[in-house]
Amino acid sequence: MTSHFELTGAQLERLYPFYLSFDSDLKITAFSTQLNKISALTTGKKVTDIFDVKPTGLLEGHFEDINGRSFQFIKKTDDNARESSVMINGELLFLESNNQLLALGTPNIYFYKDRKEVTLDQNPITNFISDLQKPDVSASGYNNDAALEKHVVKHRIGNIAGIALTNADGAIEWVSKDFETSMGRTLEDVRGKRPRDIIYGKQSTYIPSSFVDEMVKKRAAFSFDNIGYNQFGKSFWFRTTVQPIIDASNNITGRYYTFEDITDQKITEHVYKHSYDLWRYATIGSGDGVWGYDIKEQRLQVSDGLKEMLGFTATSDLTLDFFKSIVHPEDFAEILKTFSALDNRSPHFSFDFRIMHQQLGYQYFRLRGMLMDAFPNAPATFFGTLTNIHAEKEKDQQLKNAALRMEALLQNVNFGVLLETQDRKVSLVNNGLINIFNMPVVPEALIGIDCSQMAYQLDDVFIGDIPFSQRVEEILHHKKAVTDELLYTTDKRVLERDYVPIFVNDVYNGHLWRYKDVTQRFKLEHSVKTSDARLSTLMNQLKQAVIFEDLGRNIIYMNGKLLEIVRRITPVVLPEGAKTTEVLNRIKDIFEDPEKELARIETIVAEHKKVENDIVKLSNGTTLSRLFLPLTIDSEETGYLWVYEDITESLEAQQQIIEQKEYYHRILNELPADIVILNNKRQFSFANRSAIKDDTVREWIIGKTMFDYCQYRNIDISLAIEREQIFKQVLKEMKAHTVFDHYNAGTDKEKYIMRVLHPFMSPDEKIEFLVAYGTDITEQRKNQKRAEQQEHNIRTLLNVTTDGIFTCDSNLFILFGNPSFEEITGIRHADKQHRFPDLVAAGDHNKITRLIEMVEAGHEPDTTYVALAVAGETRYVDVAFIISPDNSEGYRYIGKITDITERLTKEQNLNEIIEKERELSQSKSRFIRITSHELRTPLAIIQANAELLQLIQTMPETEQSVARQPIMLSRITKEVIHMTEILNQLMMVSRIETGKLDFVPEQVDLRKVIIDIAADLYQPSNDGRSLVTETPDTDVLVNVDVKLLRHAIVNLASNAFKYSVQSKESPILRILDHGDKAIIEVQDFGIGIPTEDQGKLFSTFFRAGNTGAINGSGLGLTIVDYAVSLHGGKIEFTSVVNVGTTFRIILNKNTTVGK
Amino acid sequence: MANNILIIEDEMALLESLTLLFDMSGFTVTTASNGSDAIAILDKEDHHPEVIICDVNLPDMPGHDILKHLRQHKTKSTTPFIFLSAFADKNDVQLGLNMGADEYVTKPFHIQDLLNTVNAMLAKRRADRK
Repeated sequence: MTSHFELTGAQLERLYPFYLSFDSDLKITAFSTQLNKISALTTGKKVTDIFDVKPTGLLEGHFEDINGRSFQFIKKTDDNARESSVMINGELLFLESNNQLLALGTPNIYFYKDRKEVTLDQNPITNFISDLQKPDVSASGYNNDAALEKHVVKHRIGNIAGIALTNADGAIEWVSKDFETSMGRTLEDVRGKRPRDIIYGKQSTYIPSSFVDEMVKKRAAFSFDNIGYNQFGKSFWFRTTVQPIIDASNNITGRYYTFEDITDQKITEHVYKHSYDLWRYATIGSGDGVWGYDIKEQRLQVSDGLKEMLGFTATSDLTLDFFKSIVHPEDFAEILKTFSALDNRSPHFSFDFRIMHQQLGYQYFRLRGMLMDAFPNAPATFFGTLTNIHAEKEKDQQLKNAALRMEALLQNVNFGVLLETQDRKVSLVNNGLINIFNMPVVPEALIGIDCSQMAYQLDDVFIGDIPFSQRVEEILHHKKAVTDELLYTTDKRVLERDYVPIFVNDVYNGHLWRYKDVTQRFKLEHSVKTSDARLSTLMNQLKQAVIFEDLGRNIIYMNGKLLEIVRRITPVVLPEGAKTTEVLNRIKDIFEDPEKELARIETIVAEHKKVENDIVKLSNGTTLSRLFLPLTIDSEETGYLWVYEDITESLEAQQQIIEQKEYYHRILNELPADIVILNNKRQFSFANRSAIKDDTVREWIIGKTMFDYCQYRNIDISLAIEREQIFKQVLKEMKAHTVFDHYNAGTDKEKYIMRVLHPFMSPDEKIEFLVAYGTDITEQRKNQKRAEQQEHNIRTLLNVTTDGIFTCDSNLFILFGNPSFEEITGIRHADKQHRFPDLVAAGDHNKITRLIEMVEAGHEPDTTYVALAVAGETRYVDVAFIISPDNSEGYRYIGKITDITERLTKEQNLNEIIEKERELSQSKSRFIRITSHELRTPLAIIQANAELLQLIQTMPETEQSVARQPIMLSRITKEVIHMTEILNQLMMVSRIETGKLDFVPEQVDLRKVIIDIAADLYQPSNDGRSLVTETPDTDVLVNVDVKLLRHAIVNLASNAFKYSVQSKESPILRILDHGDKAIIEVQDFGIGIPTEDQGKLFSTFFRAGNTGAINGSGLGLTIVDYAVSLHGGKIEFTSVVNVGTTFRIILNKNTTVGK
Repeated sequence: MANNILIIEDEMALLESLTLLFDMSGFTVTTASNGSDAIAILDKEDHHPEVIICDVNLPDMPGHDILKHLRQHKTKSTTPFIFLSAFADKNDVQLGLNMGADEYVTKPFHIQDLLNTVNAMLAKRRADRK
């Protein structure tokens, strides 16, 4: 938001002494030094410290732009206890601290606090203000009192000419100092008077007092302009503002008058109007465009001519922003720079720039003008002209370009040029010269310099018999051209100098110096001269003899080595340039076979081809190796090169190596292993006798591959392919590889060969050759096979044994378990996941611990049985451990478990059987005891009555005795029947137990069975009760053994009577037809069966606890149960003690049953 | 005065036969067909049996309990006591005697033997009294 972008620094500050600029983020971008001074005085801080660049919380209250509108900034201190601020209200200055107004006023002179005058001496701002009052004369250019006064006026903040306070009627009570100054009156003079009496004279155009009084009464503030006079008769334009002072009760207590000196403004308006007319007049008809810019108002005015220059019509409205938009962007910065640098010491400007012509595009214009600040009463203004200089500029540019090209040429040549006038002043110098002489200046700086002085200064730079300056004088004296003169500098450079005198119309007009640095060229020349000598030296250093021949076979060059070799044999002189053939003829005796050698040389030359390693034997036993090479330059043959090397020694060394190799081969041949050496192309370079027995083949195979071998031996190529794979692997991995060959040439000659292919590396890690050696490992293989067989046997054993065999590490983690172990424990692939003790039931852990302790202590392994908890099931196993050393673990345990669960179960079953038999035996003896008891009782009755009968016979017959006899006899009969019943039941049980009971089912109507029983046995009973029968109306057909079923029903019915003797109610026998079931119920109302006895009721010889003396064998219900089950039915009962019992036989109808 | 005899037997046919036997032999017979009746009779102040014949297998209690009760009786503890039982095992006999019975007669029996035993007991008792 820099609305004054054209103005910076002093420029802006002069216009706005307390300016402060912000960007759109309210960050301070610039501020005046005066504001900074105030800040320092009042707060001891810089403006930037007070008005922090951060807007938040720091810029409080309102603030507006600089143009007369109010600002308020508040800076809170850190502790928040004290506030200090600088407020700029319009152009008034306030100083405030702790919310107390310290001072206010214009920077002119006056300060007030609480409307009282502030003692300036006590205020820190005093000095600043007094500084401010004194205009900087040298800076402003004003130098007389009038100007000073105007300056003061100009530099006031605002144009307040004074303040007056009056009472409610307008009588002055107090006036400000500037009022006093402006008016030339003191407060004493004016107290009690109305302001108008003081400031408005007879020429004043004033407002009637009555109007003022009216307005005040209306409590309105208002202002008006007048011309007034001060005491010195000086007239002013005043703007009077009247503001009523109103107290809390809304009474008018006084008036607040401000008098603003608007003289400047009025004059300006006047002058401006006048000058504008003048300016308009001045611009009409001018070739240039005329323009003006009011900085404060930001108003641009341009002449019609200017508009036309730019291709606009006279009526176009051109604003500053529009101008900015048509200025060439590249020139813009330059324009801003120019404007910013303006101040009233150098207010003029003139620059060329490009503006977009409406029709012609960018054209060069020259903008000239000045800052019209010196015009005291006018607003700050730029004023100037605009001239189209395009054509001029273009011509200028052409010339300039030509000069530039010339200069560029001179500047860029790689030599130094210095052009001097005849009086030895520099008129042109280029960069090259500056560089050559290491001058710390730009070429332009040397223009016009006196060269004679310069020459003396260069004396020290050069080495030579004659000083530099003296030689220059000499040359100038002769005025003759000098070329390629060499100069040597102290820093070991070589310079070449030319001197060219310039004559214009035969008159000497100056001269040109040209200096060139030829150091490199010199060095090069020198090195070329020395290189021949060096080459010669080098050639002689070679251990090879070298001869260069031209195409005509003349010796161009030969080195000393050749002579050396030849002179060992013959002391000849070999002239350079001699014909080779001649030379050869002269020295042919040095060859072992001269004729052959000469012929060979001729052949070589004739063949024109490169020859290498050609062996030449000399007569003294020396062996030479020859190289022949036709020489070509740019593919054109130029001569021949012969190189001879004495290889006598190396041949000998080679021979030694061969001998050594053979020695090793001999050793290798003796070794009882197959040894083969292959080169990195997998060709055989050696095979020992063991590897290849046949001498012919062994010799043949050298340089051959396995493929060749296979072909040679006419065997399957797959062997070679297999080997090739291994070679590749070795080459790839660069490490030894082992293969096993199995030859099965009949059972006796079975052979296993282990072959190792070992690579040998060169120092650069490449495979140089491969050694293959084979060892007969048949024996080891056989042992291994045996071991494998044995292991197989053991494994088989482990697999088939029913014992669980397992191994544990030293912590009893299970490593391995055989199939039986897996089956017993349910653990598959143990693999250290389980500890053996974890499988064992917690109660048996101590057993395992004891076993382990025993084997660790070296005792014989013991066996114990433990319970294993496997998959929720308990299995009993015998377990034993042995300890076994182990390579990796130190030691391990081998355990054996035998599943004895089944055995234990069998034992348990046996025990149960024994127990049952014992119980059976007990119940049998109880059976016998009860049976005998049951039989003895009726026997006793029978015997007693029989003997009584006998006794009666012996006694005299009485009526009583006669009557007793039939009773006794009937007792005997009854007891015999009772005994028969018991015996029948015993027989039945016996038949049941021996499986001899007959079972003959037939289809009968159950009702008939029931009715028969009731009729036969219980109709009526001894105690008068009878068996009540209840039957359905229809047939109840069942498939039954009638005898057996009848036995069962009779038994139940008899029990029903027997165990209900105390009851008057008769037992009920009923048939229920219940769908596919037929139910026979026998209900009594007797003693019932105690709950605790109900479970055992059908057991043999069991009798309920409450049966007492009631006869019974304990067999009846056993027989009933058996009989019912034989029919495929079932028997149930419900019983409550002393209420009664109901037995229920449930039979399936229409079912064929049988054994 | 006729000798009093108490017969305790649950098998009615046998009890009637024994009653007839001792009645014919000049005894005053008192009978009980279960244990509790027997104990009630024994506890009567005015009843003093000279001898007691008792079955072992009674409906409500073993005859042994009646013997035990008798032997603890303040006035009748020395009354001769004969078990008459179908439990004829040696152990049963030994048990009965060990409990304090004077004789153990197994069923079936000769009525003369029983009479002799009873009379022998009465004679011994009379001798003891003198």
